[in-house]
Amino acid sequence: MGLRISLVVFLLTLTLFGIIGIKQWTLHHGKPITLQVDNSDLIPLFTGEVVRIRYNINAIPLDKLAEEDVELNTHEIVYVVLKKGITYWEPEKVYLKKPNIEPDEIVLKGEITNRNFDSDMLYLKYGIENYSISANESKKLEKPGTEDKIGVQVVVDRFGNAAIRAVLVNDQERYVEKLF
Amino acid sequence: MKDLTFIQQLKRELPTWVNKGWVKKENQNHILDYVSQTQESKPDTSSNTSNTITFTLAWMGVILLTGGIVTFFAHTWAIFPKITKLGILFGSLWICFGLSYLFQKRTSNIEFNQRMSELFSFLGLIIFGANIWLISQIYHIDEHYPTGVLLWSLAALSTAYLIRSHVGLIISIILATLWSAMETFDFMRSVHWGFPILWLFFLYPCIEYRWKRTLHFACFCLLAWSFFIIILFVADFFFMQVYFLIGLATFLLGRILTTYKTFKDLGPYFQHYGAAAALLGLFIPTFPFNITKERGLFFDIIPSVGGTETLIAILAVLFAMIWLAKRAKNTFDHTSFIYGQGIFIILCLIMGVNLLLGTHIEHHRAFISITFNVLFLAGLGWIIYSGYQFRDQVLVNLGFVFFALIILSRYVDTFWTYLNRSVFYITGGLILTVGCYYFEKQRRKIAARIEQKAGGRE
Repeated sequence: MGLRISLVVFLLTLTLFGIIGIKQWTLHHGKPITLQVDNSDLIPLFTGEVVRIRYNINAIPLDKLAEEDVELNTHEIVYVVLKKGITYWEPEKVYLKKPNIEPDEIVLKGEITNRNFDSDMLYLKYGIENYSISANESKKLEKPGTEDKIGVQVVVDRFGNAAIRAVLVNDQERYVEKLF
Repeated sequence: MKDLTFIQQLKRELPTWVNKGWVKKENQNHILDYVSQTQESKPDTSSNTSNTITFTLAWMGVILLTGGIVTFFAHTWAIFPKITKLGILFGSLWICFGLSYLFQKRTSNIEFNQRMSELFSFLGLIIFGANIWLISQIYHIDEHYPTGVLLWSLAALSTAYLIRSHVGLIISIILATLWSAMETFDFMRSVHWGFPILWLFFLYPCIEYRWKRTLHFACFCLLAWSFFIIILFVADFFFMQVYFLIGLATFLLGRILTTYKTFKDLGPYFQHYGAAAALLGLFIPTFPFNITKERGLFFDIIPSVGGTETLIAILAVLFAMIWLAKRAKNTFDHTSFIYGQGIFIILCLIMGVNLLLGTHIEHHRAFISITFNVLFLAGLGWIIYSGYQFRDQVLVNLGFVFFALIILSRYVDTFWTYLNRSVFYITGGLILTVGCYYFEKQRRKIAARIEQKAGGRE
């Protein structure tokens, strides 16, 4: 029985490590990109609060859809191809299946959150909308001034999964996501 | 200490067993001596009551302790560095299963220690679920949340398989049902096939360890899962026809299983839950307003059900019928089988006509609903008769419950608009009171006959 209980504990621990490992894999092997965010959204980050970040890619015009006459539903998974613009990465096209991309492009996996197409926009989420720095960590951080530009650095792995890697102040890393 | 009550009861019972020929007369005293000795060598079994009290107190203690720890960390969680948080999460998980092992290993007061072991593995599983959510929070993992529930269910299932944890299996069944409900309602999956696949894995421990109540619970959850789909498809009349056929096929499969020695115990479960599903599937179309051909309540996600699905379901029922006829050639009750076949053929014809009518089905509501009411009543008669023939009290009860339901439904349907409210309630009350008395009397009569029949055969 001892061996069997050990096996249970091993499986359960492995599952939990797996959950952490998948995220860490994205953080370590993902390609960094800069997305346009609302500066004011990010100020509470430095007081340890959970913030809801709005990205430029959360709402994409419907004409970016690669396929025509498709029926899209809420919670459906789509793939957004991004290309680097002058400052930020911008959405190029939205696909229902993972497309082959050019070397200067990346593909990001998103979920449709709103299928109300009256506004001709497609609303998506990528799992990077909620973020916080723990109270413990945020205390140690130098707080940004009102003139400073705050941003987040996102990494995207080859499967289209995204994760927030760092919080930037004036394009400099102020806080980097760590394993421990 | 000796369990005197048990020994005295055994003393009283043994002469009857000798008379029935189950036990040889000369062995009577050997049995009593053996039981007496084993009771003597047993640890204090008379302390069962105090064991239960101690165990209940231990449960309360564990719950209080968990509550206290959760409250403490809820206040201070944010100030801990990640490594401390992970240490607490993994440490508590390992401690719980470690304690479960320690109690399992103890040889004294086995029953109590088994319970304590089960208690700590239960707590370990609860902590595992909490760990999934807390780790997701620490590492900002914002994924498809039903997957977390699935992982939790799989972890509980693995404890049921590996350490024979009964409570693990129950948790796994509950979580799997919750997972399916989330996928169905929150994410609008029309038919969530993942659930029945996972459900099959619940069968083995239930059968192997004879956890009959848990098997009932698993079957009930499967029925509930099918009910989730009904809610999505309810506006599609053709789906209800297919649902009925699947229920019927399951019922027949249950009867087939009883003819196999290995699966004999499993058969009644399939029969009863299959019959309940089939009756539910046939009951819904007895309401005229349900005879519609729409795409469901969530219109854009429901695939339309049509002729192909109905044909496949009919073929499944026919296949089960032939298989059953072959398996139970000698023991078969042909009368009930022939009646059943007759009702089934008429139902198939009606279903075929409905499919030909297609979207025009709504113009023939009156005729179709009357036909389904008549066939439903015939089906109920068959179920009660069949239950009586096979000495199956559950089928008889099921038949009576649905009979009462249809009488009540038709009364409300018909007289709600035509009768004065007070007359409606008075008549309804009378029908309910007198009807319940009459049905219960009939049900008891049949139950007594079944018992008599069973006694006779023995």
